[in-house]
Amino acid sequence: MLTATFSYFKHLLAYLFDFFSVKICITTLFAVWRRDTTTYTGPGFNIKAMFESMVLNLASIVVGFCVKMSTLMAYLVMTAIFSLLMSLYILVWALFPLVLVALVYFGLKYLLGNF
Amino acid sequence: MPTEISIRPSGTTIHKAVVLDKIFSNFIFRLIFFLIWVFGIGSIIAIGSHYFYHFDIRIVGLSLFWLAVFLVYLAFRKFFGSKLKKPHISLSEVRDLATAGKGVNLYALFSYDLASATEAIYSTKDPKGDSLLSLANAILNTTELNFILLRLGLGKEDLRNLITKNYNADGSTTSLVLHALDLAITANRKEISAVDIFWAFCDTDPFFQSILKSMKLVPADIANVVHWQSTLADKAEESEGVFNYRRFKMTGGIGRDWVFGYTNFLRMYSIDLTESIREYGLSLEVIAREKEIREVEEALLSQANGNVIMVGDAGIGKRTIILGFVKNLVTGNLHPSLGKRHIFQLDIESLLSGESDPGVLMDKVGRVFSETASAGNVILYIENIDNLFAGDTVGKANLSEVILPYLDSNEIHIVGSTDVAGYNNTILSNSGLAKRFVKITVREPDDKAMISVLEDTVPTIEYQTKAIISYEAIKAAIKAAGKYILNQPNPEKSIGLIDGAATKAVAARGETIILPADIESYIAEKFDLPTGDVAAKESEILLNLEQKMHALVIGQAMAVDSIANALRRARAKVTDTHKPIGSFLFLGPTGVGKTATAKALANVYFGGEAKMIRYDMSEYQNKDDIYRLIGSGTEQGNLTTAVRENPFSLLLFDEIEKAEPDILNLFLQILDEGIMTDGAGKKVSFANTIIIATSNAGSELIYQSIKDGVDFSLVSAKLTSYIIDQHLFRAELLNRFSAVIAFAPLSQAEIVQIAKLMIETLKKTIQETQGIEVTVDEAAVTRLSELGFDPEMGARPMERIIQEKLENLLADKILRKELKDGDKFQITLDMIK
Repeated sequence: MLTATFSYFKHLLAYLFDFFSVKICITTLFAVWRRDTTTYTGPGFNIKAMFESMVLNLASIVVGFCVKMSTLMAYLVMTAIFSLLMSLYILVWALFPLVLVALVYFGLKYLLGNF
Repeated sequence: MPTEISIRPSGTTIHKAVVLDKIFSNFIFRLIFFLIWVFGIGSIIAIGSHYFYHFDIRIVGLSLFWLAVFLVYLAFRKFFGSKLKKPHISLSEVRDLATAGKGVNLYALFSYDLASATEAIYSTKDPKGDSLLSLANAILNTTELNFILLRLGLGKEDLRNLITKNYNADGSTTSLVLHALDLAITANRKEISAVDIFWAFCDTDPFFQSILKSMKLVPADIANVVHWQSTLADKAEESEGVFNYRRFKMTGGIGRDWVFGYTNFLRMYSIDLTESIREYGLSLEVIAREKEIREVEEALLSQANGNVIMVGDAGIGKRTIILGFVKNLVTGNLHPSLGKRHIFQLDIESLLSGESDPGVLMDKVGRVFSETASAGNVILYIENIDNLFAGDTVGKANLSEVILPYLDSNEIHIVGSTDVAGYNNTILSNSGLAKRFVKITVREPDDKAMISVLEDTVPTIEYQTKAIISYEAIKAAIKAAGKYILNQPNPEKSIGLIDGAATKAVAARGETIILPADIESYIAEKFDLPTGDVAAKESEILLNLEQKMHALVIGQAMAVDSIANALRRARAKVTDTHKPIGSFLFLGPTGVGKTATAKALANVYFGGEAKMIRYDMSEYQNKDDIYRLIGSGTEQGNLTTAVRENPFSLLLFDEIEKAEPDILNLFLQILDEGIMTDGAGKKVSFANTIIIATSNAGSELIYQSIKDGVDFSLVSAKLTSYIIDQHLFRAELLNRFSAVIAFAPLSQAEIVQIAKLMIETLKKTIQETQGIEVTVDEAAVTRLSELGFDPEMGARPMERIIQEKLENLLADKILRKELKDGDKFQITLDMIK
């Protein structure tokens, strides 16, 4: 039972890693957003057009960075929550007899007053 | 067999589970468990709510106490389900121990359902208790067997009655259960179920085999149905359970497309199959297409030529292959470099419709391909891709010019599909295109794979029609589709048959089980065929065929006998071939009854002369006439089309000796294999036709022999060698006919009978159309037959004489109003001049 729970937890962590595309987000953190680039192709040397193109590409990189960073943050939060819940579950499972004793003890205590 | 092998409930955990379940299944315990559940949930709610509402502390105490009870109950249930109900040792380990002669208790491996049903047999101290008969009856009390019996079309109570009345095997069950263990291991099961016991009975026991035989099933069919059940159970298991990690699908996640370009324009004309399957799944299993899917994968990975074209008839499963490919992609079963690809199915019709200007059209197509290339993660799937390159369908736009440069790019991959004609005419004829595609030929699955394909498809049909499809019906559909439908590929044609039969049966009977008879009935209706077992009416026709034909044909007893024998062989399924039902070459002089015999056969066997399709072969004397029969790329053939539309018909080829010899070569394949390929490359089945060719060849020999007083049965035997010697027909053609039948010249007495037959027909017609009862006296009949007899022309002049002497007379009297409805009129000798 505990082995199955650990196995599920392991798969859950892998799933979260995949679901939030962690590998893609990290490897392309500073890449442009969805290949959305502008290239100045002339004619001639137009400094204004070149600057505009550079700004647009920079904006695309910033958008990509923001989206991917947010996703990575969400991944970390979700992983922390699930880790906590699973740890709690495993703890309850491991200490099941003690949990039962505690429930019975406090139950009777509250029910009957301070016996 | 080692004596240490036993089947004893005592001491096994599964037996403990059975006993506990017995105790806990009474009403009091059920009520207690129900209350534990209700108060358990209530206690959780109460504890949670206390934070907000601050109940009396005693309520909290009661809730905590009850929560402890609830948790103990849940733990016990879990223990009961996962520990007591399941064997703790693998089946193959036990098998190894048994083989090694070590002691094993097979009861410990039983499924819970089987253990419950057989507990009484194996607990009793009566030595007769453990018998094959008891076990056979016991497994019928399990629910595990329901699926198998339902699909085999076996009623549980019918089977129980059969077993109770006729099964008297009282031997020990140990060796049978051991065999069931082997079968369970082959089925990759974790316990021995009632299904395995039933399977073992069918595999080894003559009584069960005789039941299967009576249902035209073999033990291998049981294996197929067991496999069917296991597949469905696996599918269900995959989505069951709270902590089932098999539900997690590694898809690349929300950011899988963030490194690829936009596909907004492409999406206007296409469907993202990857997204669709990722979202909704693929309900069907892709069976027997692993090879083609691997070929598509390998071709797409190829650096030199990353485009694929699948070639096969419509309905053969080309789209299924692509869906299987996408499913593998979604589940991560493809090469990692293909993992982030999206398969877009491009809708060519919507892309090309509404634009007649070639420039705009080329721009549109160019934009789709340019966007596909810049996206970097798209594989285009294009059905009927030949339409994109065929000039006549897209105006004057030369789309090849637009698309060809993209086909060389590594950024774009195309998977196209087309049929053989489309590939040959459009792709292969353009070397630039052909070399850029890897061709994958898609073939029909074989019958064994077809069973699995249909088992997988059947749930969808059942959901739509509310019918249950039996395994036998699946087999019958595959067989019938192979025999009667040649112009469609499998699996489409078999699926169509099951779907049609289920719809028809449900319309007639409501929710029902589809059996082979339903498939046969649907086939019979669809193709106007007498399918299945020889029906009572047809059986009567076949047994009395000679008698019935003699009522319509005078003389020619030998010919009629040969035809009747051939037809009885075919319809009683003595021979199971795809050849025509019968094929005959009628030889004899003119007017001896060759055509009349063919008409009589069409009447008696097919129920009317309308089922006879007649070809005057003197009209097919040139080489080009072959295309009039079989069709060409643009025209339909009058033979192939007629047979496709009327597969159950009599084909009469008159004066076959006058046909072009190349046309006669066509007959070699028809007579030998029952199949012909038409001008468009599609197969036509002649399996349900009777073919009759007539010829005057050899008439001189027949006349001469009759003149010399030779016995006619000897003439008939000599005729074939005479015709070959005289080079009138080739030996290989003659040998392919079921029978070459010589027709004897008619005698004067036979002509009298023919005259009577014709007069009877005339009388019947006059009675029906004018209401006049006509009689012809004997002397007049004799006179008519004398006038109509010509040894050279046989009965042919008789028709003219009847017209001249009787029909003219009657017509005259009717027009003069001398005869009217309800009159009686006798024709005498003196009326015939």
